[in-house]
Amino acid sequence: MSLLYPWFFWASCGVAAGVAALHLISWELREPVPFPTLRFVPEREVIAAELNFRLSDVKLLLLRLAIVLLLGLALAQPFWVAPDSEARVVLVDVSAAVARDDAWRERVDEAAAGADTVIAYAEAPRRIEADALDAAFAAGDSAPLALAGNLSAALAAAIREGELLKNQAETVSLTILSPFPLAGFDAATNRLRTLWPGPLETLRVPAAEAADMTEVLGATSLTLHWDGAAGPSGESPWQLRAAPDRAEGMLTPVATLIAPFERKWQLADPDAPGLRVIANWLDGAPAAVERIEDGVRRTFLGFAISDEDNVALRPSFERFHDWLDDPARVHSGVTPVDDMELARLLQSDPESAEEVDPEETEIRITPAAPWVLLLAIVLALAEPALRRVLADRRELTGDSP
Amino acid sequence: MAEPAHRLDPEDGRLLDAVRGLRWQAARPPRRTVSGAHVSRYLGPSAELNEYRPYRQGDEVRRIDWKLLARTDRAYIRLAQDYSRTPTLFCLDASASMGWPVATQGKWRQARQIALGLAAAARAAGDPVGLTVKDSSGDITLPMEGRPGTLHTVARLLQGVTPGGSAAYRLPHTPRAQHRLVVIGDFLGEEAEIARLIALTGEIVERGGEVLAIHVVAQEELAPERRARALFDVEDPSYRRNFDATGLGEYRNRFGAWRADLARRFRRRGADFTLVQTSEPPAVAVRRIVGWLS
Repeated sequence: MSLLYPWFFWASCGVAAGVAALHLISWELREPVPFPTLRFVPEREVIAAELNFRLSDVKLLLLRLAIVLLLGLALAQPFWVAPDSEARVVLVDVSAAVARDDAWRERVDEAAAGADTVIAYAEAPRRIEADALDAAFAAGDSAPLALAGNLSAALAAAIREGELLKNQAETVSLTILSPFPLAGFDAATNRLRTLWPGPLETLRVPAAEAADMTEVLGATSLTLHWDGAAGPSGESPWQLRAAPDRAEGMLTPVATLIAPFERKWQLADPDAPGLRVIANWLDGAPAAVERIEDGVRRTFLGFAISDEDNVALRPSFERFHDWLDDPARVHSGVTPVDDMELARLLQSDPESAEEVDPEETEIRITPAAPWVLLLAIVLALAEPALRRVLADRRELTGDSP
Repeated sequence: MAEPAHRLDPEDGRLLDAVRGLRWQAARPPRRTVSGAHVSRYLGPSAELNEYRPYRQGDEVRRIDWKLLARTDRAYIRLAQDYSRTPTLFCLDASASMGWPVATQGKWRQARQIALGLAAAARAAGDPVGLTVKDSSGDITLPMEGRPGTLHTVARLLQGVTPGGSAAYRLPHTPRAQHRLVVIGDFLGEEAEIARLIALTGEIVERGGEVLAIHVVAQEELAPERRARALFDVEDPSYRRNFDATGLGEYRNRFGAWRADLARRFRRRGADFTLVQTSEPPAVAVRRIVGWLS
């Protein structure tokens, strides 16, 4: 048996120890003793009690211990798993940064074999069946590809799946197949990694060559259209928002921009063919899209940079802007990080884990918990009855408590 | 002589061995009553001539020494040293308070042994002894006896006593002259009873008798435990008080003042008063009392 929240059980053990102590330690009035010269004893307020270390009301104590421990067990969410069992979650990077050759397929097949959950991720992670990888990847090929897989989003999806698998196995391990481009990491990656409770394995796969990237993107030149401006055809993917608001930052394939932006545009048709989101606001709404028209990569930006703020001076924006200006620089974003950097980026940092807001964690209830709680409630209802029975019996026999 | 049916308790046997040869002399020469071992206060008609005195009106005519009258033509009375006995009555307190400490019955055991030891000393002086005890089951009385085996009777009677109840003494209704009354107890009974006992003491002394009051006190009464306890009165369980070390000093003062007052009241009426603790060996106490009074 394993416990989902074992601290509840340990806390109940502490309470049970307190209950046992209360039954063990008691102040008892001393039995009056005869004294012939009592008439000379001064009349005073004296508490003739003594500290006793004697176990009293054993039956009642056992019942109360059972109630407390069962309550703790119910809150700790018990579940049964096979000893030494392991569930596996596999994250497969399917972004444009991956060299999707036969060797890669073989490694994916090998990793996915026996896995409980396989999640493919590029922009957004999606769960795929391990025995239908071919179909899943074929469908992914037809969709517009992200330059680098969003590892944070993939980790979040893996954590959700891991929570589900936690009831089925003693440990849940995570395997990530990716070339681990720098662009795949963001500020949340490390924090999300700390939320993964089990072992984590990284399998590095070959990254795509620059020529392949360009081919995938299918463009040789670039045009930027700022602040919702339309292209030469006069058609803009943007339309004005009913109520402009502010966004606190933006996620791009090469950088995360944390700065206040005025957000006055929204996509007119998010499902328009050929349109690909290349940057998102922090709340997930598209911030920049691109479309390839006649071999020209046209980028439509749903924001503007004013001269008053200093966003343009920041290195992150500079990197993003360079990437927009020169598609060749895309390679710097998808350049795989080396092993040391990867270890640093995916290290488990306990301090970061403690910063997680408990309200954000989802309370889960295992199937056994309600039954244990029910048993505890039944025993709790029986406790006053037992107490009364014992008191009556004590009264009949004349025993002191 | 017939062997007494009662076998002495080993403890009593050891005590009697320890006080063997101890004779309890009368504190004051008694007037002539029954001839005994004590030198009488009066010169009597016995064969042991002491002196002559002239006949006075009222003297018995038969006591005139007729031969001397014939020689001297004067009437003289022949006087001789007389010997008498001092019957000793032991009056023991067998109330519940004497059965304390409950585990050892220490006070009662001490009182019983002292009574037996003093009875042995009195019998050694040729005095008859009697016994009155009022215990939980009723009255136990042994009339004055001076025969062999009286000590065994006293020992047997005392051994059968179980302290209990609240009535302390079974006092003689009328004080008899020339008697010795030995009262052994803790004197924790009703004040009216103690007052009656002290009044009787005065009457006995006035009639030429002796009264010895022996106050038996347990060591635990003089120095109670210091830890906090709930106490109840031995003879009245409804009377309760809590006690701890803070009240110890005041308790000792009160108890000591009461003991001093009790001794003063007895002595004022001519009685001898002594205190015996349960920790004192009975034989030592008996020798101390007899030596002091003789």
